Amino acid sequence: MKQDVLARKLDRINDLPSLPSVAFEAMHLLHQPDITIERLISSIQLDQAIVSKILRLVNSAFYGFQGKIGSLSQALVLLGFNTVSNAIVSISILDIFSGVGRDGSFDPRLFWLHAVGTGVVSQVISHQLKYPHVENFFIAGLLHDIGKLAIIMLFPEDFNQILKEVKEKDISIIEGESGVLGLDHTEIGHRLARRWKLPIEIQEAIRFHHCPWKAKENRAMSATVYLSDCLCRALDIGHGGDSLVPEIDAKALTILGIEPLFIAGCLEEIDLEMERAKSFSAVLS
Amino acid sequence: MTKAIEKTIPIEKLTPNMTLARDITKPNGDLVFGQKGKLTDSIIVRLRRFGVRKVTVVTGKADEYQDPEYIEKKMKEIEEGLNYRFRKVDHIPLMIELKGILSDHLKGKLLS
Repeated sequence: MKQDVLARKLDRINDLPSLPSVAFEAMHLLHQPDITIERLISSIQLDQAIVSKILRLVNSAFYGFQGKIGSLSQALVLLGFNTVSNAIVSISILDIFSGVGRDGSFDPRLFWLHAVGTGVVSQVISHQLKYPHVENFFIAGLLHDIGKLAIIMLFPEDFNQILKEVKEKDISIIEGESGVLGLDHTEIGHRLARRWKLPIEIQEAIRFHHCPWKAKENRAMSATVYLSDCLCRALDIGHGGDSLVPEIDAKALTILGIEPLFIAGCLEEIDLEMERAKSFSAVLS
Repeated sequence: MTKAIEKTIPIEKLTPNMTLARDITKPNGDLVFGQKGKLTDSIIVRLRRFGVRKVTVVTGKADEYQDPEYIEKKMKEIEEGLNYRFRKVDHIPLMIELKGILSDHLKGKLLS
């Protein structure tokens, strides 16, 4: 496929909605002294639909304070800024894609289960490896496949063709995307994440979750999401668009400094966290 | 309720129903196997191969009885599901090892 055709396809990303300013402010609050928590809360409160979803989410079993949080200020005190900020970002981004798949072309429930699962497994692995800011690993896992949603929204006919080829040729969805579109969800998702000015490490995890050794900013985060995506596929958690477990490259385990045995040590915690995360998925869907 | 008692035992006495009291780490502190990990026969073999000599375990309750036919059917489903999902990578040593780890875990969950 010609480069200019591919470039035009990538430019279609600009047709997707912008990230709501509250999500942008929530993400960049720590680095922008002119945005205060008070200002953030007052801008979020202008959108009561978002406030209500955020409160439903922070009151879900996922965060362990079922029904005890009555306001955003209270959420900040009990859960901390990072967690509330991530909840705001998740809700805002997922709101943009809320109508996707309603035509029956794909099952959004299984898509989000895979996304939440990858977030949960990323958080468990990063927690076991004692990485800082495990919440960011959750967000990176949650958003790793947003490029697939962008494809469905921008190129619905191509997406149906991709699914057909995946089934007929027994190939992975990324192979199907490259064959039909000339682009795949990692490139499209990365372009979208850049447009939304998501943190660089999350942009990288979206771009390199099939080849984390190419990441520069936070290779461990990309490798964690890569491994988590593979594990969710292997454990049949949700659906990533095909039924194949990809080969795990030993380079990714080297980046994380782990042996396969380490994975066995994470499985119990993954089961426990997935139970709690069901409430997270329920709020999103 | 059963009161948890910790006991350090040689690896040879470790059995699949036991629960670890703490993480197993390398001398430099790197994590080898997390405390919450489920112990199965193959995990114990792997731990021995890894050079682990002693572990600290807590006492646990016996497994509940379940219908053997149901267990057998579910075990078969687990195996078939894994074989299907791993169909393109089941010749790669790392993936064979991972499949074994997941199979042990999923089957162990069924029995616990």
